[in-house]
Amino acid sequence: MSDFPEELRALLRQPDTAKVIATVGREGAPHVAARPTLQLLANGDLAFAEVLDSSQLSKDLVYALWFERPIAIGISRGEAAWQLTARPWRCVVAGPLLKQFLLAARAAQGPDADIATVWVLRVDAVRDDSPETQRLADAALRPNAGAHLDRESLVRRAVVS
Amino acid sequence: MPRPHDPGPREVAALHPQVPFLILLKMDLQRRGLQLTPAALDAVQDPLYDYGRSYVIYGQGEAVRKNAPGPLLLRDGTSVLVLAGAQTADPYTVDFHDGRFVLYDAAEFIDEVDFTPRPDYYGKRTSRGVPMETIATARPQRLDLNPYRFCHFWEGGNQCRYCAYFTDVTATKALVDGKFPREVDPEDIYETVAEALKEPGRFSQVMLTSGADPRGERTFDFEVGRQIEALQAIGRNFKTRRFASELIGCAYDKQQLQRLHDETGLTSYCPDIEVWDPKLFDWICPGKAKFNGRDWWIRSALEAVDIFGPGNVYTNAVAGVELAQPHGFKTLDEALASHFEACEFFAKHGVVYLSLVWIPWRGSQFHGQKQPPLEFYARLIQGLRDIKRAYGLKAVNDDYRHCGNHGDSDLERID
Ligand code: SF4
Repeated sequence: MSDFPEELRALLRQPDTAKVIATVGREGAPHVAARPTLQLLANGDLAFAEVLDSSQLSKDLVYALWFERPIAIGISRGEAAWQLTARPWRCVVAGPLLKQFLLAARAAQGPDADIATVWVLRVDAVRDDSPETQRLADAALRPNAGAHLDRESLVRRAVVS
Repeated sequence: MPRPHDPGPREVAALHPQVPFLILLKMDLQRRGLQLTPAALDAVQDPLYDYGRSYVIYGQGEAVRKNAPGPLLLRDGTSVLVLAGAQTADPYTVDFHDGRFVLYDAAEFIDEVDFTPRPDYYGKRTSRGVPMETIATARPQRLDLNPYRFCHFWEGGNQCRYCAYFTDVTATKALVDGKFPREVDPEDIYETVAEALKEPGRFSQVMLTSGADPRGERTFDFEVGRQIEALQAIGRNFKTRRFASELIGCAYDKQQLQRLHDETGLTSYCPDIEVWDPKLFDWICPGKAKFNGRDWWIRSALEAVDIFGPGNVYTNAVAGVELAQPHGFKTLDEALASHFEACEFFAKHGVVYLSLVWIPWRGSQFHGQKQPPLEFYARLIQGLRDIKRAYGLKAVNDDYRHCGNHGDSDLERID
């Protein structure tokens, strides 16, 4: 189980945070899917509701669980961005967690809303992936390298009269 | 005497990298059974797990004395319908520590597991005072009903030789205050289903099965009439004409099948062939051979496709039983070839052929016979899945969420 910084916890609680899951299936094809219901459980696992067993994401998660392949999760909102590496840990088909997600779906979308499963994901690594954090890290690693020299903070402009 | 080496799921997965460890584990759990440590048995008394005393009358042997849990759940969501009472000499063990159930093979930690949560309708009674869990049992997503709790093939010793169904009727009756008539009142069925459907997201399919009853003007007329009554009682709970349902029954003629389709909301039908080889069918399933023979059972499945549509008719094989001695196949290859021939034949006609792991239950004529090794099942399910995939067939009714008994339909999850 990985540590979740408070900023990431807060992001996961925001309804307008983008939450995407990247997988690779049996045929090796990469796949990305947005899953807005993704949320943090009390034990540090993540969970989200999946509507269909036949979705590409469901198939890829089963494949990843069976054959111990990692998946990636992207969490972002505005300039904030986090990158997580995880494993599909459990596919929940009945019980309190399924009921909780189903009732949430019905509260949001009406009484005919349905889900097939809840996927529980075990997070192995969490990384701050925001552009600012990356820039600072890059600057610390290789100062003066790579950036365009005409940037306002660098270049001294000749004053032409 | 040391037990002969029996390669387990890890060894077999190494030999068959296309077959996931968890499916092999499930099939090995089915083969070898399960026992609970005292800590696990205490933990399943929790209201979340307590299924009450087990009413599943499938060769429990020494039934658990405390309340039993529901089906075991593996992490991929599949369920394993093994009862918590060892059927074999070396069952797996479920223990409970640090707030979770854990599975062991002897001293080796295998994986974290769970049990199916108890449905809300358990513990309630119908207006006639019948405990609802005796009317319908619950798998993770499937409601199982048994409208007629007797198989007439047992009269005169014509039962299938691997069958231990109904051998525990006396014990089961005692568990429910003697309220265990053969025939279930359709009103009890109606009320139980109505109650079960009050729980959000608990069920997505209804399954009916019964013991065989060949009586009637035409063979199985009594049985068909009863199934129609039960399905109509269930159907009163729905606004739509059809509801996701499966009937595992005897082999009915076309007119009977048409009635089931037209007079009820049934969506799929499953007459089990059990054993494909003609001679072994006659030996292993004498009741089916008597009423009305292998060709009749095959024809029924094929004719049902015209009525229910391709992919909505199933047939199960008790895989491994064709190796029972003295008359069974002598090699695994012969047995596999027989399954693949059957699967191809049925697939060509739009029927989904599924395999079940044979368990030589106590109470069955085959108790004490040797099961095939786990590797047999690894080869079998791959072959069956490949054949069905070639014909565009997928077991949507008997998948991991609804049935959980079939390694071959599990493999389809990533197709
Ligand atoms: S038909 Fe065969 S398997 Fe089914 S209950 Fe009767 S004897 Fe048992």
